[in-house]
Formats: sequence, C-alpha cells, structure tokens
Amino acid sequence: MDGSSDGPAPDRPRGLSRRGFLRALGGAWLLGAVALTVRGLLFDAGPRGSPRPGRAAGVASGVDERLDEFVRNIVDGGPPKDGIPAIDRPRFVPASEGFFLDDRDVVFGIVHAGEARAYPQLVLVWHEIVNDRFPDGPLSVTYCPLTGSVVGFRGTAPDGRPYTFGTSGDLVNSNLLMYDRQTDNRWPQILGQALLEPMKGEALEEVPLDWTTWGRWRAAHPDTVVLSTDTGYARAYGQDPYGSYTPPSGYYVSDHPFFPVIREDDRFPAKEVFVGVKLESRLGDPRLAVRKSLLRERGAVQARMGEEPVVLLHDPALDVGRAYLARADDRELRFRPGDGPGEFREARTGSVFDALGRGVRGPLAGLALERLVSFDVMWFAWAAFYPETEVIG
Amino acid sequence: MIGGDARRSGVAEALRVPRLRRIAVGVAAAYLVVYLLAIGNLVVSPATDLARSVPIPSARLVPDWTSKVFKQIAPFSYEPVATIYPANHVTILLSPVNIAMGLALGGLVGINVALALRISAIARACRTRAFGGLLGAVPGLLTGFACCVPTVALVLGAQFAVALIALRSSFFPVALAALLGSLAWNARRTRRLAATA
Repeated sequence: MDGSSDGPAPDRPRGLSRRGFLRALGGAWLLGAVALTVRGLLFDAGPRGSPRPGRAAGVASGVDERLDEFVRNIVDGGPPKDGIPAIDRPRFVPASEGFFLDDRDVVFGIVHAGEARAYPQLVLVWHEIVNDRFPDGPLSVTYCPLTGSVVGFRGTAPDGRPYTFGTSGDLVNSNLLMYDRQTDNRWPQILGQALLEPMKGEALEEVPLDWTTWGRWRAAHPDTVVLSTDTGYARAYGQDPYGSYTPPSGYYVSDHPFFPVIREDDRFPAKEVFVGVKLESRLGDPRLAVRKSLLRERGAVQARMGEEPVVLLHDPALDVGRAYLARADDRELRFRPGDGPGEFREARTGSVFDALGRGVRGPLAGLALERLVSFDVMWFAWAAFYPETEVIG
Repeated sequence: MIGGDARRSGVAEALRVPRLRRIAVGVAAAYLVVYLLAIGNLVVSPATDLARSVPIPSARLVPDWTSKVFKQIAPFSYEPVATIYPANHVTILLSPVNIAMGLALGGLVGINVALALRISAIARACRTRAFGGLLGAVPGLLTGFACCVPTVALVLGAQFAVALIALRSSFFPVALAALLGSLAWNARRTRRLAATA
C-alpha cells in the first residue's frame, strides 16, 4: 500500500508520541552534553599567558594550600578505581625472548640492585603501574601516558608495610593519580606526595628510570630482562589507545592536554618533552626543567637549583638525560662535552666523566656524582605542577 | 501504554518472514562487530605483526578469570578474560558480559530494522519514522573505552572528551531505552498497519 494521504489513517498513540519520546530522550541527553561542553569551554576560556591560572580560583602559595588546591582539582579520568589494572605479579623474560618488541619501541629501563629491567611502554600504557620487587625490596614503576612521565616509587606505610599502588581513575593536572593500597591516600605521580591526611605532604622515595628504546636499551644492557605481555590481563598490547611514539602521532603530539590543568604556560608547546629535575622531593623545593632537545644538542647543561650547582648530562647511547649534583669536596664542577660520545670533561681538573656521572680519567677518576631525581615529562604537566620551576629551553 | 501482546505479535509477525529474519540476524551480528570494535574488544591492527610473538591462531585465558569476568573497567564495560588471535593483525579480547551487552543491543537493532522494513513495505510514507528509532543504536557505541581518552575524543577535541566522560555512564541505558522504545512503537504500528491494510 502506498503511504500517501489517502492511505491508512495515521495511528495516534495515547500519551507520549514516539517522536516526542525520542525527542525528549535525545534532548535530555544532548542538553547534558552541551551543558558540560559549555562548562568546559568556560573554564578554559580567557587570554593565554605565561603562566596563568587555569580552572582553580586564585593561585595557592603555601605548600598546604597547594596540596589542597590539587585535591580541589581532581577530575574523573573515565575508568573507575583499578579500572586500569596495575600489574602485581610481573613476569620478565630475557632480552632474547622479547619478540613482541621492535627496536624502535619505547621502553623504560632501570638498573637497580644489580639488575637491569625494561618495562615496555606498550604494556604500561594499559596498566600504568607495575608493583615490582627487586633484591633490595619493592619498587613501583609508574607511567602516565597523558603527561609522558615515568617514575619509580618506594615508601613505607605507617604500619610498616611497603606501599603498593593502584590507579584511582582520577587525574590531577591530567596526571595519573595513584592510590596506595595500605592507607588509600592519593598521590599524583609527578608530585610523589600524599594529598590527604594523615600523611598529607609525605613524600615517596623517587627512583628515576631511563626513557629510551628497546634497541638502545638491549644494546647497552644485553643481560636485561623485559616485562612480558603475560600480565594476567587480556589487552591488545601493541595498540596504543592514545596514539603512537613510532612515529609520534595522536595525543602525544596534539596541541593540548585533554583534561583541565590548574595553570597553563604557553612558553613551549604543551607536549614538548622536558627533563624535569627535583633537588628534593617535597613541594616548595627547587625545580628545574630542561628542554630535552636542547640537552641532546648541547650534551651537557649546567644549572643552579637554589644554592646547589647541578648538571644534566645527555647519554647518547640511550638518548636520555640525567641530572647530578655538580660538586666535589664543596667545590663546584663544570662540565662540557668531551672528545668521545658520552664523555664529559670537567673544566677545572680536566677529568673525564661518563654519561652516568662517573669520573673515568684524570684527578677525579673514581668519583661518582650524586644523582638527582629526574624524568622526562610533557611541558604542560611540569609547568602545571611547578609554576615556579626554573626553565632552560 | 503499548500492549505487550501487540508488541509481541508485531515482532513475531515481522520475524516470521524469512527474509526479515535473516536481515535481523545479519544486522545484529554486524552491530555486535561494530560494538566490539568501538569498545576496543576487537582490534584490527595492520601495523602490528602478532605472528612475531604469538602462534596464529591461538587463544590465551587469563589466570583467575572467574574473579575478573564481572569486574567493571569502565561504565558498562567489563574485564576481558581471554585473548584470541584468530589471524595475524586481529585480536579479540573476550568479555562474555560485553558480548552479551553487544548482542542485546545488536538484537534490538536487528529486530528494529526488521520491523522498520515491514512497516515500510506496508506503508512507504512511514519509512523515515520507522528507521528513525535506529539512531538509538549510536550511544551504545560510545559506551566503553578502557583508558582515559576515547579514540573518538582524540578526533573531536578536548571539550568533547570531558563531556563524553561525564556522560559515558548514560550511553548504554540511553541506547537500550531508545531501542526498546522504538521497538515498542514499531511493533504496535506494524500490527495496526497490518490490520488496516
């Protein structure tokens, strides 16, 4: 039958019509979406400056106020608590069995307590935390894809148990907000400090890792083991939901973070990689950020954090930057690139150091510089946590 | 209110037609595939050579799967408990709950399509309205993403991402309600049109 005007009489349901029902349903849903979008636009609207407050009202100055400010600016990242599951029973395989890795794939490497281990980014992007154990005790390796930062943590809860961590599902400054399984406190990864009472302000011991590639790490540490994809979870390892590092694409190179940050600083592109350096772990202590491409170009970057002389040395074998206290016997040391790759010459004594901060020739041979906590991090995130940071870029 | 008998008979009437039944099953299967792709439980990655690290075809059940099968990893998205590698470049993350949810939505979409085709066969003027209810299938595809930023948000931008995350828990119920509403309406209409034809 043709559906013209002389066809069957249109049926008119009693009560809410179908069109009305669908309109109401869709309308309510769209209204919510629009309201939230407008809310987001309003929060992020305003002139761009450097730096400028983001969502938060005013800029907190004291340490306590700043910790409270972080709490006020916790946002829902999407997944529920432990929705991104930490790996609690990591399994490692020898380098020769790392078939799932390409030489260009990003790994986070560490040599700790005499053992070299690599944590592939393609595994950690699905888990973000590995509660690992070394011969000298537990060490939690944490990775935040949204801020491009990897940090190792260890610490002891008030009851004497070592901390282990899980993902809260929330974010601060777009950064992974961890919770500890012993006290359920909240710890932003870049900050490494507890946000809530009774341990508010307590700092974890931070252990730096090297952000490098599998090919470089394996060449430098043939005896390394690597975290296996046998994690106890079913995930599409090899698929990165955020983009890619080989070649860089997606979120990792887009112009803006996805989630609100407390302060924005547009002196550099948001996703530009910096080496963030901490003299001490606690908020309020000096912070330094050195643009990684600049460090790569210069080989060594000398700086000062508070009263302390520091130096960042670029290790060309792994393409990583590490930070050291640049002093010996209360005398400041100054470095410049040496004759060979990964070698640095100390100006006053002529001593030669390697990229691990160890004196290998000359009067200071045998001296090991004290390593500082440092890690690669996207500029927007470091600037949001530490607006007072010194910057070399 | 729409009577249950009318609804049942409208649906049954449409599904008694073999062609419409085949279409309903085909659409349900297609929706399930799209649903699993959207929530990341079906991954096709031409750039990843799976054969390098796992036997193809093969499957791997996660340890302690019984305790994980009902664990939510996002609103209306559940922990996969097995990985299946049916072919190189293809990974299926098997979550029975996600599949059941995809089948539920897919089944409703399939029956809606069958009913809509039935209506449009009886009264062509009703075609647009009959198919309009299928828009309800769209929110279901935004339901589950197991990371902080859904792929669709990467394309649509940061503001949309925040809104999407805030609304994500409503996507599945909205899809379900819209499809059920559409089904009820079309079933009733089918019966009425058939009666007046």
